[in-house]
This record gives sequence, C-alpha cells and structure tokens, in this order.
Amino acid sequence: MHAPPLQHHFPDIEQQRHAAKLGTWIFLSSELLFFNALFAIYAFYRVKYPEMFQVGVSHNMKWLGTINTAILILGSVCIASAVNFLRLARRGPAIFLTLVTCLCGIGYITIKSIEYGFHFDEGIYPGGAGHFFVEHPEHGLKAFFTTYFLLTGLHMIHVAIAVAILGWMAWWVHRDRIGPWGAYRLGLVALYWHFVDTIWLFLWPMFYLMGART
Amino acid sequence: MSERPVSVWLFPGIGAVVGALLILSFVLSYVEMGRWTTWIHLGIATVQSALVVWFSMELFESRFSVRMLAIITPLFVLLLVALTAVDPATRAPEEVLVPNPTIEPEPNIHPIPGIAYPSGAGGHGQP
Repeated sequence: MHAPPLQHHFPDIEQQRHAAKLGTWIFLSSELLFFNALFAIYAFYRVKYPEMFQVGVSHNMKWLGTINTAILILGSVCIASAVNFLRLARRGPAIFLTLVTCLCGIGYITIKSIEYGFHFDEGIYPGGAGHFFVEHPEHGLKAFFTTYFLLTGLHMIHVAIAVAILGWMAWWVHRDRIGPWGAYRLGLVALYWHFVDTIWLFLWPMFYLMGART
Repeated sequence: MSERPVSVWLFPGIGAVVGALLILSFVLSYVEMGRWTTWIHLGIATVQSALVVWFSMELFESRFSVRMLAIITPLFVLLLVALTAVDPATRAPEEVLVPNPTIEPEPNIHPIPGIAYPSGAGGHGQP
C-alpha cells in the first residue's frame, strides 16, 4: 500500500485531503439546491391540494418505501464502516462492506423499479398521463404523482451513479490503488452515498407517510 | 477529513439509532396527529439526517469551511420551500376570487387611447 501522490500545488497531504473534501461538499451543496427546486414544487402543490396529496400518499406502497429506507440506512452504515476499516488497514472488510453498499443500491433500484411497475400497471404515469387519471381527473392527484416521479426518479439516478462509483472504488481498493493513506478517496464517494441517503430520509415521509390513512 | 480511524462500533451504533427513528416514524404514520403530522415526520427526518451528516459524513471533525456549507445550504432549502409554501397558503379561497373580466377588442379602435389605425390598414379584428 502506498500514500496517494501529493499534487505539487498542495504543501502537504492534509491540505490536499481538505481541498478534496471541501470540493465534494460544494458539489453536494449544489446537488441539494438542484433537489431544492423540486422540494419547492412539492411544497407548493401540497399546500394547494392537501386532500389530494393524502389520497396520493395512501395510494403508495408504504412497505416498499420503508424497506427501501432501511436498505439505504444499511448502505450508509456499511460504507462509513468501510472507510473506517480502510483507515485501520483492513482491506478485506473494507472491500466487502463497499460491495455490500453496492448491493444495497442495486436492491433499492430493484424495489423502486418494481414499485414503478405497479404504478404503470395501474395507469399512473408522470405528467398525469394514463387511464388512472381519466378515472381520477383531480389536478391534485396529477400534481402528486408528477412530483413523485420527478423526485424519486432523480433520486434513483443518483443511487445508480453512487453504485457505479462504489463498484469502481471497490476495484481500486482491491487493486491496492487506495490504501489507508488514501482512504479519504473512498470517503469522498461515501459522502455522496450519505447525501443520497439523506435526501431519501425526507422523500420517504413526503411520499409514503405524511397523511397516509392505512 | 482526518485519517484517524474511530471505533468500529460507532457507525453501526448510529445506524441503530437512525433505524429506531425509522420504526418510530413508520409507527406514527398509523396515528392520527392532525396538523402535526407534517411537522413530526419532517422533524424525525431532520434528526435522522443530522445524525448521518454529523457522524457518518464526519462533520464532527471537519473544518469550519465545510461546516459552514453544511449549515448554509439547508437554510437556503428551508427559505425557498417556506416562501414557496407561503404563496398558496396565503391566497384567497377560489370561491372568493372574482374572475378577471375579459376585454374584447373593438374593431377599428387602437388599444392605446389617442392613436388611430391608418385608414385602410385594418385594425384589430379587421382583415
């Protein structure tokens, strides 16, 4: 195992680590502001159509959303522990836990896809398209499911990106390109996973719990 | 990001607390809480997120510049969401609103007072 190369414009490795971390946080902040626009749309329509949003929340499959939340939290624990194990120079558990996090992401995407499949079978599509909205023409329901697809779909894309990068990092750790001194690189990807997890911690009550009647 | 390892039980412990809050939030979804529903569920989500951000994202050992980002960005989110929600919340009920009168343009009369269409050029509603 070897230390990551120190770039010439940094006086020491600590400075380099901090710059990488700060850059990642700036990126995550811009991502949060990106999601923010959709959160604002959700807030607008929820206040405008409170009754229809309760109907929409009751229509969603609470159990599947809850299982997905548990999966993302498990992934968060695994990747944080993986970074810690890498710092302890225990490469085996670090690789294993990184791969478990990847599996959590794949599990999440699978469950979410199944859920989307149920919605499509019912005739619920983004933008108020589908026969469900012929039988339920209320504007509030269309707004609910459109924001639902927008927010959860964008979130799922982020999970997929996290899975791809984590798989890549597991390969790097396996190939000894990242060791205890380069654990911060895995830590940067872990930050991205935690961010995705944090977003879902809000999406879950917004679309599955708040106002559910069953 | 320091490279100091912490106890291997820290993150499973945080995960257990976040998981317990998940169960609490799930159970509370079956309880009728009226207008407190939104605040309680979002409050629990905020506590869960704060635990993840502080411990798992290692904010507890980060420098001020990173902490500042982690504080200011959610404040921007709060500001935009709150202002957006206030808009429909403070509108008058639709049954109270008077519909806007529709102004039909009159033929050969320019919409700006004192200006006439050139003769033969045709005005509003003219071929």
